[in-house]
Amino acid sequence: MNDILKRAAARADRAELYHLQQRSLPVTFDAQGLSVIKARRTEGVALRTIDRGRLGYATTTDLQHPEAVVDAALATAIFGEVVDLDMPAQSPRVDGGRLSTGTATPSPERLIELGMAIRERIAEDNESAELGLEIQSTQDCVRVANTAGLAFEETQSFVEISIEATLAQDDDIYTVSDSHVISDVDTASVDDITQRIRWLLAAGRDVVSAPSGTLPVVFTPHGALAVLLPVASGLSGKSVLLGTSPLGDKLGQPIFDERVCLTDDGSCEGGKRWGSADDEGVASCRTGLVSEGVLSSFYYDLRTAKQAETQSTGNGIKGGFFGGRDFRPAPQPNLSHLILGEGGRCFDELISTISSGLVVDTVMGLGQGNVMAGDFSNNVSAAFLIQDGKMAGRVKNVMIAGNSYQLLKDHLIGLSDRSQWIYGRFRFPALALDGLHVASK
Amino acid sequence: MKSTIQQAIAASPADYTEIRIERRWLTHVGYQRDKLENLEVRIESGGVVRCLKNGGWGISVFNDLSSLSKCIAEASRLAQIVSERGDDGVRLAAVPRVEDEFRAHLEHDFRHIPLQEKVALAENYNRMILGASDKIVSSMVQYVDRFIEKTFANSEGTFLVQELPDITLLLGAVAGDGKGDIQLGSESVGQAGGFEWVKGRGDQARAAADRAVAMLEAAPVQGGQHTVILDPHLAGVFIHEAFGHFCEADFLYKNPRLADVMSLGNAFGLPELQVFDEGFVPGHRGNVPFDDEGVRRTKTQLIKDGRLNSLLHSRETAARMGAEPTGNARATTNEFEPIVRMTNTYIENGSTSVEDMIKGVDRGIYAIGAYGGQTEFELFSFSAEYGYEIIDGEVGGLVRNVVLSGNLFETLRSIDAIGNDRDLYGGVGGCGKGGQSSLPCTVGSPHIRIRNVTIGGE
Repeated sequence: MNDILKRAAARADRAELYHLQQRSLPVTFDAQGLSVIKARRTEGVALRTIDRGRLGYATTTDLQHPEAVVDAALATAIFGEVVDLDMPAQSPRVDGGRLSTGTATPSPERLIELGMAIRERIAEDNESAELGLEIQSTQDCVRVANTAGLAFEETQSFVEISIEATLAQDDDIYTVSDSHVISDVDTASVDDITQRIRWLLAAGRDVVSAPSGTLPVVFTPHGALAVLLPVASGLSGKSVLLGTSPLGDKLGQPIFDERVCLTDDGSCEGGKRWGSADDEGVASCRTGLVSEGVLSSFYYDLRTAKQAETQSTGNGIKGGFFGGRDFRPAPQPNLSHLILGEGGRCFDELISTISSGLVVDTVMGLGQGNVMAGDFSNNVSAAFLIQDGKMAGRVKNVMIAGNSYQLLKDHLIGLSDRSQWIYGRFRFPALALDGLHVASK
Repeated sequence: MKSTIQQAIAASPADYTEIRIERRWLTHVGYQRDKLENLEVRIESGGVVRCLKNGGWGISVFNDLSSLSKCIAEASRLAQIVSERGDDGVRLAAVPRVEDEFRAHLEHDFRHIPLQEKVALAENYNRMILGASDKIVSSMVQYVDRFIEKTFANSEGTFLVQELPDITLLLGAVAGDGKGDIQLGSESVGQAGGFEWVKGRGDQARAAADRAVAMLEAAPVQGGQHTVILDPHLAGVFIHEAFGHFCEADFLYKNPRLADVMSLGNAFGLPELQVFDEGFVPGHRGNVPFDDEGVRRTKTQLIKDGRLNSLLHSRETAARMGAEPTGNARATTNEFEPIVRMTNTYIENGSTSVEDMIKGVDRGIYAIGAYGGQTEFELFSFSAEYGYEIIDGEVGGLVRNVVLSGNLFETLRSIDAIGNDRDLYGGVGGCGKGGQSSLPCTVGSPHIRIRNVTIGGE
């Protein structure tokens, strides 16, 4: 790969090369059982050049012809945006962390065995549930090098498990899904992996009619994403520079209830974006975004940090809030792992204070509505009635709507004392809010 | 390359072997506010091998074309493991062997347009949006052209080379009132065509900006049950997302209860309702001359006179359900295996004019455009870009936050008028399913009117 960087360095003032080798082995089960195994071996590079102050960018999987990607990047650099960014010279120290287990990957047989165990555990209490399951082992080898001297390399191996379970009865279809990122198949707990799915299936057996009006809602950690996703985009340094964040002029000011703490943490073990550095080779770190309700920082990549006259927060990430690594997208400010601080009450206690309301676990249409303004409006797909402080059956055909900024400022009831990972990118406790608009059919 | 591929297949130990090799070229120009945020070129190549052995599938994905034989051996080995542990043997419906070529014919081939011209085009639209009003705080102009060359071969002797062009333009405007309210307006173009499709779109750039500004004054929609008229774009997204995915046979055999509901002949709507999935409509994004199993395109009538008439099939689902393959097995890239997908999907014209449709509504919502949608079995949820109130048979004020949701089957039955002004939309991006996102598809419809739709809001 040094060949591409050398060729680029000879023709441009500065250059950065991102190189990703991915090996993955997804094993897929459908309702009938094991359906397909796929071995994936791919490799690609992204070359970013700066020449006479202008940015060029090209990507390729064709590593047999290194000159082509250099030509393409330099061709774009003729018209590219005038940018200034400080490429890091120092390579971050590579930590031998939990997910970095070297080159050993589990065999297809081992993944099948785990899949069978997961299916059996769920079927124990849910014989009629139809299960879809994918277990994928992934090994990512990331290299970032630049003409300032950085030469960073890290290999990560992990296993992702995605489960979908469907209960169908008469006219009712109830489907729930969950995903987990684990580091080691051999120490994986099937009970833990299936816990949330089993809870959702058990809580959702009976359908009850839903209330309408302005009501309190306890969002499970998973459900809290509906509220926090608009905030996640408002905290981006890029949204601030573009003028599309309602938080742009509020640094240092209280924006939320003082119990709300939001942190981005790329060095946090257990998440899918765990690593010693971001995709620009900047060391991963913890960034306090909202501390006790006060807006303390936005998150930046190299380019937006320079524009905002600050430092990169290690959030130069290729790809969006969800998903794994990809060499194709140019780095953008994106959250590595968004962490919402825990509160003092357990989940059941939060519910016990509510005489009439909802528990919302999963919504449809995440990110729909005017996200920039903080509005969300979602149909629920897994939600439950709260009656006299207790969960009392599943509700259907219910839409919830609200504004994240207003809700987290003036309508926080409380946060639970236990967090969960969501899609390997978010870690939240349960979040109880009042004043949600609920429309039921 | 043909002989290398054919020799590799001939040496495969599997019962059935297919190879798909793709070369892709992409140019992306993206402006955001006053910045050229994205200017990138992608050059990609890679392949996928799929082997069927004793009824089990094994797949191998690769970039390195010299590893073809090794990948066939690997896919075959994985197929063997599946066949030993799985309990559901796969068969493939018979299809004719084909040797053919499909070459793209573009009026202005975007591969020969200098990069400078593409940048200038996007910059010009961006400037129009930013200059439209002092309330415009940001913009988003995305130009993407993509050219794919696919080579497909299988162990039954089929050998195909296809060229698939795709060009999209998104014109987005962001308006702010200076007090924290932010509203969007957008227009898009998407075609399987040349550079001519994205030129001369200044009116759309201005329309996007004007709408974003107007939305600042729009009232939030009143939540509850409404009679809703969907414009052709939103109605097209509805028929694709909420209904079309149900017609994908791989979904149905995984969900036996829905397979009952989706029995051919079941009534879904008024007799005037006709829905098609058409594999080739000249110039449209959803075009699939031959699908990724080498099956020739068809025009499939999904709903005929209000009743379910046909489903969409791959070779595997067709064999399972005793049907004919419909040419709907598609994969987004060589990193994926083909699954059952739509192509160009639309509701055919009915007889009611949009004016008459509006006249028949005392109180309701005229919902326009689509920001996105999601479905979960028969539940759906869609965001319209914007809407208008309808009061006493007349179109009234602009409303925002129009999110429609409901049950597909109830909603189809509640369609009480179908317009006569069908339009097709390629849009930007594409359809996602099973981890394969952004597959180019076309959606379309005339205006339709639906009673009792749940709209979220205050």
